Amino acid sequence: MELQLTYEEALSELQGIVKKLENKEVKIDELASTVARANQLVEYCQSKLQQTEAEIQKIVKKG
Amino acid sequence: MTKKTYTLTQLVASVKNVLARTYGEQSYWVTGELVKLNMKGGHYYLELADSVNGVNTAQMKATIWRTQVLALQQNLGEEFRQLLQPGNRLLFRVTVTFHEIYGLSLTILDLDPAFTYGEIELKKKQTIERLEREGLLNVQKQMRLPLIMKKIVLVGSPDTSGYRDFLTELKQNRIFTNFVIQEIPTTVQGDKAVTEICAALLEADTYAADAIVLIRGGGSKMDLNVFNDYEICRTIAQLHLPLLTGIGHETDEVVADLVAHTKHITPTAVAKFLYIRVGTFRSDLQTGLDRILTQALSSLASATEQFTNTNKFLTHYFQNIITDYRSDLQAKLHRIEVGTNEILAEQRALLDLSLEKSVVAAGHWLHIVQTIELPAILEKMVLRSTNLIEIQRLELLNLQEKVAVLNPLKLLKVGYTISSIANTDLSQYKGNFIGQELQTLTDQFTVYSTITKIQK
Repeated sequence: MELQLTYEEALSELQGIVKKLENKEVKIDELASTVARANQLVEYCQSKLQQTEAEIQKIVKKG
Repeated sequence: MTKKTYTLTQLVASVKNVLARTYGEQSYWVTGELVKLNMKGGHYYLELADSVNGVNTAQMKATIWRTQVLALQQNLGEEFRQLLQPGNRLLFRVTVTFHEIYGLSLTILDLDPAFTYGEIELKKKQTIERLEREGLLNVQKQMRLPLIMKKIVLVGSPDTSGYRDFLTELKQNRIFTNFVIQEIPTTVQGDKAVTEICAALLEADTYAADAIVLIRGGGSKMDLNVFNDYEICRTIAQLHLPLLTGIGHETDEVVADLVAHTKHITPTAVAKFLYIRVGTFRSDLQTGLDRILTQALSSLASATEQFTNTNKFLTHYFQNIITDYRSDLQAKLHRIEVGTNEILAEQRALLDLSLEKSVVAAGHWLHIVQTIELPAILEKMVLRSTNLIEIQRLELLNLQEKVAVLNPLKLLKVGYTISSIANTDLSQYKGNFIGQELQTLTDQFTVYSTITKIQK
């Protein structure tokens, strides 16, 4: 699944999920899907970070 | 006693005898002053006197018989008459004569004029000395004679030839005739001459004239003797107008001549002097005028020349000045140009230098930026980014862990259960519990039970 989100949006959503989980606001039925979504968001953010890091390295090396 | 008596005739005859014995036909040279003179029948009857210090010391009658008069006139000529002027001292050769009826008298046989002349000269000398003593001799000479004497007061005897000569000369010369002549006639000889001349001179002095002219034509020494008179000379000295004399002939000089301002030998000479002086003045004036004119023309010419020269000089001078100014201006202009160029070049060089400096500085700066600052920034950036990424990673990890921890499914696996009413967590449920269906989720299954009792 491709996410059309910025890092900040992804992070914000992830933080929202965590907060809901902490507050036990997540319905049981949605629990699995919510966790799955959280995992997906984490991965997305990680990949974004990784990508950014790589780009930075690439730019620096070019200079 | 009877008196011895004589008749007058006897006595007079006796006196005559005594006198005849004493004086006889003997003649004597005697000096004396002629006091009075009468003529009758060709005979001259004289009254003679003598004095010492002004006091009469002797007086006697004298006679010149007609034959003797004729003889003397023959010898002395005109002088005879002049010698026999009352007031003259004379030297006579006399015989003493006694006449029974007419008494004692002198018979004059001869006259020596030389004595009288000597007397005249002596008197003249005394008069001069007296005038000098009294400071009258040079009074007239100190007067200023007018340059032109047109108004003349003439004192003289109109009947004399000298008088006529004077007037003729003044009126008929070819130099100047426009004289104004005031004539004051006077006698110049005889008893009254002195008084009349003095009066005439005093009258002449009252006119507004340029000069008084006193003339007397030629005459003998005796004739002219009147002008040696002290009174006349004193009168002359006291005149306000200058007096010119023309008395006598060439050689005669009388005291009046000495006292007068100017002496001329004859009346004609005075007239000549007067018109020649006018002529001279006129000629001097003309000469002066000519000289002034000549001088003026010469000055004018010289001034013109000077002006021309000055003009030329000035023109030349100003041209030089203009040229000088022009070249000076050009020099200044040139200097301005040079100066401006120098300044421009300087500024240009300064600009170039600044540019160069700027370039160098920019280069430096760029170099610094490139080699130091940018890499540093980049490094910092990278570091920050890495940090940021790390922080995000950590946060993500944290979130991941939280998600992991909070995942209830996991709890279920370790034996926990989750209870809910109507799909709502118990902790969140707000409704009535009793009679509600409670779902209890376990790892392996779900228990559905009905709530019967709530214990808190």
